[in-house]
Amino acid sequence: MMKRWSPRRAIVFASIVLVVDGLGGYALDAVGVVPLAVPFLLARLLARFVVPGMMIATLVIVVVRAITGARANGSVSSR
Amino acid sequence: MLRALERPWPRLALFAIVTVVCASFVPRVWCGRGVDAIHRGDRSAQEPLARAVAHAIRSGVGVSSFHTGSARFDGEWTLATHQMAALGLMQVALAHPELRAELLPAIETCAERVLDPASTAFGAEAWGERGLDALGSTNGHAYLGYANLALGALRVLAPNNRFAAQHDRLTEALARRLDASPHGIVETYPREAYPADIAAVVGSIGLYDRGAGGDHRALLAKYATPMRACCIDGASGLAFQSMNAASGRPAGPPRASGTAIAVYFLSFADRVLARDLFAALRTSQRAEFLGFGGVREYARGHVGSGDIDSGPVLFGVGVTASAFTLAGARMFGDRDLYEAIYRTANLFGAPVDVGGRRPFAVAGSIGNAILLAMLTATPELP
Repeated sequence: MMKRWSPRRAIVFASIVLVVDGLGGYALDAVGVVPLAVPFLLARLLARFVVPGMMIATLVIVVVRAITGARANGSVSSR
Repeated sequence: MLRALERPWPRLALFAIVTVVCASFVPRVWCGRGVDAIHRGDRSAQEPLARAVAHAIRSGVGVSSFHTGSARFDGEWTLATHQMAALGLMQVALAHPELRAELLPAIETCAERVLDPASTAFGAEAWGERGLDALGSTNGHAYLGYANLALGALRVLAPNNRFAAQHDRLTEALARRLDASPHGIVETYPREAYPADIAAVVGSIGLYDRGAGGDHRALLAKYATPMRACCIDGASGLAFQSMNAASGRPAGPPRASGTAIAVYFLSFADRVLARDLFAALRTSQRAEFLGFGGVREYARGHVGSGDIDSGPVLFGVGVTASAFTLAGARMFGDRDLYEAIYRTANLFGAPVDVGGRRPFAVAGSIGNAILLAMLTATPELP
């Protein structure tokens, strides 16, 4: 699973979660509670407990890749 | 060393560490937004909640709005929705008198609905007589305490309203039944008595005195002694969930949901008893995880699952007990507990702003009415 991880996928996942979290409440208020409550609450939990850490970790990895990539290309000193 | 993050396991470890660190403070900050304003009682925080509840009442809440699978419970929830809405709206109108004219019609609708025979048909089914038509009966009909609370809320704001005479008669009937009970236990249904419902009866009498200028102080003082002796567990300080009216002995374990409901209702009549029950909830039942608060349903040494009274029980924490404890926390000055439970209510209730209203999207009409009443419960009596 981790081999298939990429920053782009992490951002897409976070975006979907945040959209469901942001709009789900309005949808629930409009149509009633039962059908949408479980996926909405799951998105709400992910948005608050997982997505912030995931995005920070993703940012760290993107920065690390940029640094190590630059070193490999010789544009950044290894010292 | 940086290249290690290109490999899966170090990357997974980084994700795990950063996620745990962020989860320890981001959700509590995110879900705690706005708690200062609602705790202070700011109009900007209370008004949208009140408008959401008033809107739901105007839109119509009836037995068909609920699907518990039991006609009795659907009826109870209909009655409780209107009663909680009336009390919550009353509290907001008292805190912000400029909103009184806007909120009063919804409270009047609540009073009208609790007197509708359909709203108390579940009680008539159980007793074989309509409680509101049998005020001279010796049968308990303690569920009428909920109806009387809604009438009391209207009476506090409009002493000469069109239901005042019915309010007088219902209060006197409930007071007479309470006085006649040797153990201070009024039955809700035949051979079924619940301290939370008895607290509704007692609280409604206290609220009547404030709204209509009655004086039941002697009765309320007399009631407190048997209530403490019979209905409260000495070990935990919690109220037993159900009682045997004839023997005065508990018929169910001490539980937080009934206790937390009783705290709120008793606050209209007996603040000392309400404070003592709240102290038991605070000291023995409080649960907290990452800044999210809740209240354990069962007292230490007792185990059980969720039911219609407690709502869902997750890791021992009950939805009803947690929500109702908000009122005690605000009334008796436990700001930390109020904030911790508010975060939980915000997380799972999911408030949204829609055209000047702020309904909790997941709470439904009864949840919104309860949360309004609990979040705006006042340290001072109305």
